[in-house]
Amino acid sequence: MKVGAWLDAGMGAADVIDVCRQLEESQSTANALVVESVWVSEAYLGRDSIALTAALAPVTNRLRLATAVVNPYTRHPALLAMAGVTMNELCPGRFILGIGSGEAHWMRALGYTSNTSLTDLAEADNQIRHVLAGNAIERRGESVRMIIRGYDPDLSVYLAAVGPKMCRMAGRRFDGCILPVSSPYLVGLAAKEVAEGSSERESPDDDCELVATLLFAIGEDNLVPKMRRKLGLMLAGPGASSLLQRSGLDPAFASEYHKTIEDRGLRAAIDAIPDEIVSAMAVYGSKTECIDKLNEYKEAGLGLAALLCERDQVAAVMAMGEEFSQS
Amino acid sequence: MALKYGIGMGRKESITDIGREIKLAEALGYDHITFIDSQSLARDSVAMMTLAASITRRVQIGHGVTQPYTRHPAVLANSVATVDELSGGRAFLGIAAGGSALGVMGKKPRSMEELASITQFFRDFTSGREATWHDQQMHSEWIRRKIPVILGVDGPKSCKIAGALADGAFMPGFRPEILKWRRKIIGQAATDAERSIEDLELWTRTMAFVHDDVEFARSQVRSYACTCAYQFYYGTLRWKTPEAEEIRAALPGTLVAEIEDLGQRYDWYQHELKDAQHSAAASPELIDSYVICGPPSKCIDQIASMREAGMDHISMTTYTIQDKAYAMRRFVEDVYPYVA
Repeated sequence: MKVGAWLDAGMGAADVIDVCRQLEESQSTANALVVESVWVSEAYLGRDSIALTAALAPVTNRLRLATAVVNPYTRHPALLAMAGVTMNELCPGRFILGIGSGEAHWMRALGYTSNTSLTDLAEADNQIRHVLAGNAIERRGESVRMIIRGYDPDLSVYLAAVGPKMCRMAGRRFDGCILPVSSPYLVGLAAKEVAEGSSERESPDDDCELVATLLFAIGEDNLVPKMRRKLGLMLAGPGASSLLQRSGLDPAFASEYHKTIEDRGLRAAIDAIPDEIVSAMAVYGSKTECIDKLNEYKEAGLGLAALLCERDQVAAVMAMGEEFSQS
Repeated sequence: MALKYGIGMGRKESITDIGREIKLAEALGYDHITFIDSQSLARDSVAMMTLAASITRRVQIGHGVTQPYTRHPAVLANSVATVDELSGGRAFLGIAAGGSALGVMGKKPRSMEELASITQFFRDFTSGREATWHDQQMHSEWIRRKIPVILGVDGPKSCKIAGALADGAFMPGFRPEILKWRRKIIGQAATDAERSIEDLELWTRTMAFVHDDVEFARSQVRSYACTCAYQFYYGTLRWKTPEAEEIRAALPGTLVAEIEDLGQRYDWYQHELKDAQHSAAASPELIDSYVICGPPSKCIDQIASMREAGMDHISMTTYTIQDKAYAMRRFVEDVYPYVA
C-alpha cells in the first residue's frame, strides 16, 4: 500500500506549500519516495485546489499532485481539461485530476438545482477526454473543441466515490477511485466493486488505483476529541447516512446527528458522536496503533492511504510511509 | 501620474515559455501581467497566474479577462483570492462578458446584468460580506481583502457598470474619440453612483510592436486590431442607441464601414491568430485605431494621444507577436522612457 499526504487547503496557501516542501525534502533522493503523493482538498467556499497544486509544482520534483476533489459543475469540463493540460506541463506525469459529484447540499447552496448524477459525471469525464483528444463536443447548446496544439492529452482522472455504482464506474472508466474518510469495511466493499468495474474495461491492463483520504494523527494526547471534531464536519452533510452504512456502522445515527445539530448546534452534535464511529473511521493514537489500523485498510484492499497531514504531523506521515513502503 | 504598463500573455505558449515571459516582464519593470482565460484557446488561467505568483515578487497579476460562465462566481472569487494569498496581495480580477471564451463555444456573451451581478458578488464576497448570486447568499470565511476588479468594457452598458461598480476598466484600442467617449460614460456612471472617475484606473488594452518597418509591425498586430474592432462592432456599432450614434458620428465613415463589414465576417476559430483570414485586408487606419505599431516616434505619438484621452494604464497583449521578448524589450527601451 502506498502512502500519500492529504492536505487541508484550509490551513492556508503558505502552510500547504511548506508542508509539501518538507515532505519532499525529507525524503532520500536516491530511493523511491515513501510518501509519494499529495492530495489537496477544496472546500466549497475555500481555496482553489488547482491553484494550490500549481503552486506545489515548482517546489516539488517527484511527488504526485492531486486535486481532492473538484467537480465538473462549478467549473466547466472544458476548463478542467485545460487545467489538466497546464498541470501536465507544470509537473509532467505527476498531476491527478480528482473529480466528484459535489455534495448535494452544497450544490444547492451554490444555486445548482439539477441532479449531479452518475450520468452527469460519466458525461463530464467523456467531455474532458474528448476535448483533450482534440474532438469537438456538443453540450447544452455549446460546441467545444481544443484550439491550442502541442500539449500532452494524457490526463489521470480519479473519481470520488462512496456508493457501489460510483465505485463500479470508477473501476470501469477512471484511473482511480477516491474514497472519503472511511472505515476498512468500506474499503473492502469498494475494492470489490472497483475490481468488478475494472473487469468490464476494454483494456483490462489499465489499473484503477483505490485511494482513501483518511483522518490521521499520531500523538500521546487523547486524540479522540480532535478526530471527532473533524469527522463531525464531514458527517454534517446529507451523505452521512450512506457513508455510515457503507462503513459498516449504524446509518440511523446520521438522522440523530442532524437533529442534534438543528436542536443544539454543531458543537453539541459533534460531542455526541460515539467513540465507536470515531474509532472505525479515523487513524490515530500511537505509532503502533496507527500501523495496526492502516494494516486493516491494506488488508481490505486499499491501494493508497492519503493521510491527513497537518503541520505537526509531517514526521508522523513520513513514518507511516516508511513503514508501508517496506512492507 | 506615471503611466503604468503591463503585458498580457498566455494565448498559445507552453507553460515553460510563459514562465520565461513572466520573469522577463518583471525584470523589465512591467507593472502588471494579465492572463487570457478562454478554455480551448489557452492554458488554464489560474495555473498561469499561480506560476506568476510563485516566480515574481513585485508585479500585479490578474485575468485579462475572465467571464461569468465557465466558473461559478464563488469558485472564481476563491481562485483569484488564492492567487492573491500566494502572491502576497498582488492579484486583481479582470472580467468581461465573455466574447472569445463563449464565442468559441458558439454562445453569445453573458448579459450585462449578469456582468454587473458578478462584479457586485465578487466585491462583496472578497470583502467578507454576504454575497448574492442568482438569489443564493454565501460568504467567505477566509478572504478578507477587497481584491480590485478591472472590468473589460466596450459599449455603453459595460462602461456604465464599470463606472458604478468596478475599480477600473480595460478599454480596447487607441482611437482618442472612442476612449474619450467611453471615459465620459464611465465618469457619468461614477458620478451617478456617488463616486468619482478619479477612483477608477483607466486601462487601454492593446498590442504593441515597435519596429522601424511599419508594414512588418502591422503584420504582427493586425489580427489583434481586428479582434478589438469586432468587439467594438458587437458591443456598440450594431446598436442604434443614441450613444452608439454619437460615436458613429465622431468617427470617419470609412472606418465605421470597415468595422461593420468585419463584424459580419469575424471567425471565432481564427480569433487572435496571426494570419486570421478576417484580418487580411485590414486598413492601416483600422490597425492604428487599436494597436501601437511602427517606429518609436509613431508609438510615442499614439501613447501621447491616449494619455490626453485620460488613460493611465496600458496593457499590451503579445498573442500574435512572434518574438515576444523583442516586443517587450523594445517598448521598455525605446518608447516608455519618453511617455512615462
